[in-house]
This record gives sequence, structure tokens and C-alpha cells, in this order.
Amino acid sequence: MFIDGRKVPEGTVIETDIAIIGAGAAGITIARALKGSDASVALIESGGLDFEPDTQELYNGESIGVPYTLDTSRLRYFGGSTNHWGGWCRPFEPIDFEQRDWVPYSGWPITRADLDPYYIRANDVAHVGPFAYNDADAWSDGGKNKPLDLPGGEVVTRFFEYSPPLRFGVTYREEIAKAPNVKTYLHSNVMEIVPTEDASSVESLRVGTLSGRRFEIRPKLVILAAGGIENARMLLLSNSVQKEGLGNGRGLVGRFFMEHPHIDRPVEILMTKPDLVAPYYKTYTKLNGTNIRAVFMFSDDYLRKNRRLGTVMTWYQVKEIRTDKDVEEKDPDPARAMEPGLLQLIHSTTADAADGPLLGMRYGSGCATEQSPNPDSRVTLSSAKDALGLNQTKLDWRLSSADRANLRLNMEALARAFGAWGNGSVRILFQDRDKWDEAEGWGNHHMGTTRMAADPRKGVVDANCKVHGISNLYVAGSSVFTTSTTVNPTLTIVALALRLADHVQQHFVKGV
Amino acid sequence: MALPRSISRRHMLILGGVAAAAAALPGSLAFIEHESGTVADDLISMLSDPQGAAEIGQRWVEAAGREPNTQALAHKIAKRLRAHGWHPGAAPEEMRAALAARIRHDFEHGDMVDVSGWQISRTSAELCALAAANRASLPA
Repeated sequence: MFIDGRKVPEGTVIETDIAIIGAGAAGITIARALKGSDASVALIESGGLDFEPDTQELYNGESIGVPYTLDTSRLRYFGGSTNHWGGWCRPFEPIDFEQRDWVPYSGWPITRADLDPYYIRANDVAHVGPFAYNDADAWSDGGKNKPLDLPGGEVVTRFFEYSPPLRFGVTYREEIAKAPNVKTYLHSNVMEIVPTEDASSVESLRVGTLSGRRFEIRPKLVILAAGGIENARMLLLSNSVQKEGLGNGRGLVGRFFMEHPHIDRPVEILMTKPDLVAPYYKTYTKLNGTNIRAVFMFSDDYLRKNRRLGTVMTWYQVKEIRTDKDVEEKDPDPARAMEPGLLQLIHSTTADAADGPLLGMRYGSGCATEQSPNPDSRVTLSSAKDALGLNQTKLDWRLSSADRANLRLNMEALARAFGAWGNGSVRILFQDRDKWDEAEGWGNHHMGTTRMAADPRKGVVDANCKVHGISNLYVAGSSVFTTSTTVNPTLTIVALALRLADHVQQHFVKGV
Repeated sequence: MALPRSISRRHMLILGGVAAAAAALPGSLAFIEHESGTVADDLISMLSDPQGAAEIGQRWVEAAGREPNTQALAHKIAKRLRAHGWHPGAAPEEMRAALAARIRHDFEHGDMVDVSGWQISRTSAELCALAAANRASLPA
């Protein structure tokens, strides 16, 4: 059942077993998982069923670190940011969960094996194909496609699979609407999670609408699933009892904000034999009914031995380099003139001789890279207020020179691999300097602000995503990520949401 | 004549060896020069586009502020190729195989130079510099 919060009578008190704050990928997944259970569920969504500018404006805030646009980075209506999601899916690597002695603050309290069964279910939830992210044979198209055989074991081919992309708010709307135990409150903004006097548990949720209506929800258990920034903001705003914010006794809420720096054209690649490049490297490729794309990543051995953070690289075909065509005259990059000579050099030494005017192909690239967790990279509250009278977000995203150097060194590893292979050459365009360029982009992936750690001194939530020290408050979404890892977060958000739903079913619902 | 006590027989042998080497030096240099000259020609003959390689070499030496020297570069490359089984007088295929092995070895060991962003093996860069030096030495 969908209920418009603007029509709930002023001062109403709603009793429910479970309240889920936020109807995005995590919130909808948990609500679906609890559908038909013995527990009554209130799914509380700030927006309506479609985009509304005044609701979206609630995302406005200040950015005082790496320049960042807050108001367009998320979508605030039923379905959340899956409404503009690109559909990129890939599970995190086992090494991502480990404590890496070269990555300060790394080490999740769970392993990849803990998430594996949920990843498989998450694939179904997101309408992704078979769980074959590392299986080149699954995408060989009868032996026609082969990954590049780059030597050295540093650079490896891995696969992304694509969700259609699934708009959770559209696909699962009817199912949620018909779930007998789920009531979805639209246009309903949780303004504070109000704890008991000793702050050991949540007592109620103070809810308001942009039309000025106020009511209260009294849940037995709360799952905060409002997004990687809003989760932290909501805990900080919940300060009527604990002045520093809920679950923030150690000042960790909002810290360790992480993103995935996205760099356009960190490298260009010349290759002598374009026919060696399987189609799945160059663009989205439909195989066995699933859209996939091959990417370059860096092997665990390489990351361990060289003490590196991960990077994922896509690439695409740009231009044939031929002897019978002049280098384009208008290209402002003088190094373009080197390309025929460079390919001829490779043909003369490590590759087969060119047997016609086609010397090779130039490829462009893109990459996303891991940033190291940094407690000074954080979300706090701004003094500016939103339309509900709540403090807006103040984001101080920080990237370190070490993060930058790491990416540069990974690009050098790529150059080594192509050079040793003998059929290609890499040009590094990512500049070797201390500062990040403001023009460099990001992935709209908000992570780490309520990080997961077994030790309450090191994280906001425990291995079950329960807020340390609060008996009935859980957090879902990428804010619980301990490290940012390298790949897109949605599949892991869904897997963690399914795991949390299982935990709640086993430890709470059965006792309702 | 008895040896001074301060000069041992071992010292004498060492000094003798140095003297013999010094006497042979001019001839050896001439041989190296001759060998390098031949090797330079052989190396450049490997290139299907010596002009293109020379352009790359010119960029590299200019950026590094070096003065390319045909003999020195050829000698340097030849020395590396010997480690991969090449020897003076070997067939061109053997030189190409040794060159390919050396370039791969450079990459495997991260021995790369940067030419306008392109990451090139040191041996390839020196080969290109050799092509540039050779071009410069040709009559206009």
C-alpha cells in the first residue's frame, strides 16, 4: 500500500515492527525480502513516485573539499538513484575485504565468502545474467572471443555484467504496493531518529512533509537506507538526546567519505593487431542474453607485492593508424605524429611485420580507481538549512597525493604489460603531480560514512550492519563500506541488503 | 732484481695486466668503433620506418638534453643484445630475435622511458636515438 504522507493527519502516531528509511536499491530490496513475513514494515520515502524538483532540492549542500555536486548526485524519489543508474555490476574482490597493511583503516569484519550467496541472489534482484564475472569461457561466443594474453600477471581481464538497468522503483512498485505487510509512506521525510533517553535504542521517527505536515512512526526496529551521504547526515541530525548525533559517540559518523575518482583517458593504447581485441573489450556486448563488458583490473598478486590500491579500466576503439593516410592535420596534440612511427617500431621489433597499410589502432580509455580511507574526508552538518529546517550536508571530500601516485603507478604496470606482450604501446596521459585536477571526475558513488568494523572504536556499524551501541538501529547501503574498493557499488549494496534482511528475519522477525 | 718488499708478486701481475691492456687499447677501440659502425647499420636496417623512429628518437634526446652518438648508442645496444644470444656477424633474424627479447626484458623490468607520454623500452628508445643520430650524420 502506498500512502501519501501529506495526507496523514497531523500528529498521527504510527506503530510498526520495522521502519525502513529510504526506498532506493537497499530499502526496496529489504522491503521485498520482508514481504509476507510476520513483521509489519513501514517503507518511508522522501519523494513520490516521480522526480519532483522541490524534493530533489533537499539534497543541496556545501562542498568544501574536492569540488562536488551534491544535488544531482542522487535521485530522491521511489527507486532512489536506481532511477538513473547505469547498471554496472560486479562483485568486490576477496582482497577488498582484507586488512591490507599498506592501506590504513582497511579490513572489513566480513569476507567475500560471507557475501557470495547474497551476490548470487543480488544478480537475480538486479536482473543480471549468470554469475560469471571472472569466467572468460562463459563469454567466448563459441571460442571466438579470447582475453588478451598480457604477460607478467599484473594486468588481468575481468568482466562487468549489466543490469538492464533495472529501475527498482518501477519494476518492484506493484509488488511493494501489493505486499500485505508493507506500507510505503511517500513524500515523508524522516527528520530525526529519536532514541530513548539513554540512547540505547530507537524510540521513534519524527517525520515531516514539505507541505508542513508532521507525524510520528514508532518502530521496533529501524533500517536506515537513505544513501551514502544522507545516512550519515540523518544520524548527525538525530541529536536531541546525543548532541554529537546518534551512534556518533566516537566521532566516526560522516568520516571516511570515499568516492571513485573517474579519469577520462588516463592512457591511450596503440595496438598492432586490432583483430586480437575481442568485441567485449570495446563496448557493451550482448552474449548469452546478457550485456557484458571486459575491463582491465590488477591482480591480487600485483596489488599485494607492490602495495597498491585497485583500478578498473575500460577502453574503446578510436582510430586506425595507416600508412596511406596522413596524421589528422587539425589534431592539436603534436605527439599524434609519432603514432605511425611507434607502430612501425613495434612491427620492426616485437610484433609481426605490417603486411599492408594498416599499422594498428588507437584506443581510448577510462578508469575508476580506489581511494584510501581517510578520516578527514567527511560529511558534517552545514549551518545552512533545507526546506524542512534541517541542517544541510557539508561535504569535505579529500583525495591524497598517494591515491594519485597509486593510479599513475598502475598505469605504468599497464604499460609494462602491453610492452612485454609486444603488440602494443601505452601512452600515459594521467599527469604525475601531487594535486588532483578539479576537472577530474567521480562516479557518484558515496561510501564509507557509517563504516563497518567489529570494533566500535573503528566503525559505526558492526558486521551485521547494526549501529554499535544501539540495539535496534541498522544501516543499509554503501555508507557501511569499510573501503571503497574499485568497482561500482550497487550489486554489493543489494547483496548486503539481502544479508541484512536475512539477519533481521532470523533475529527479529521470528520473535515478533 | 729482487722485488721491493712493498710490491708483491700479485701487485706485479696486476700491474702487468694493466700495462698489457693499455698497450692493446687503441686497437681495441678501433675494433669497437668498427663493430659499432657495422652494428649501427645492422640495427637501423631492422627498422621498417627509420624516419619515424628517428622522430621518436629526436624527441627523446631533446627532452633528455642528450647528444646522440651513433657509436656509443650502437655499442650500448649491442652490449645488451649479447646478453640475449646475439653476436657480431649473426644473421639479421638473430638480431631481430635478440632485439625483441631485450625489449620485452626491458618492459618486464620496468626499464621504460617516457616520450611525450608513450612508455617505450629503453632499448627501443636508444634504437630510435640511433636512427636520429644516423639521420643527422647523413649528408643533407
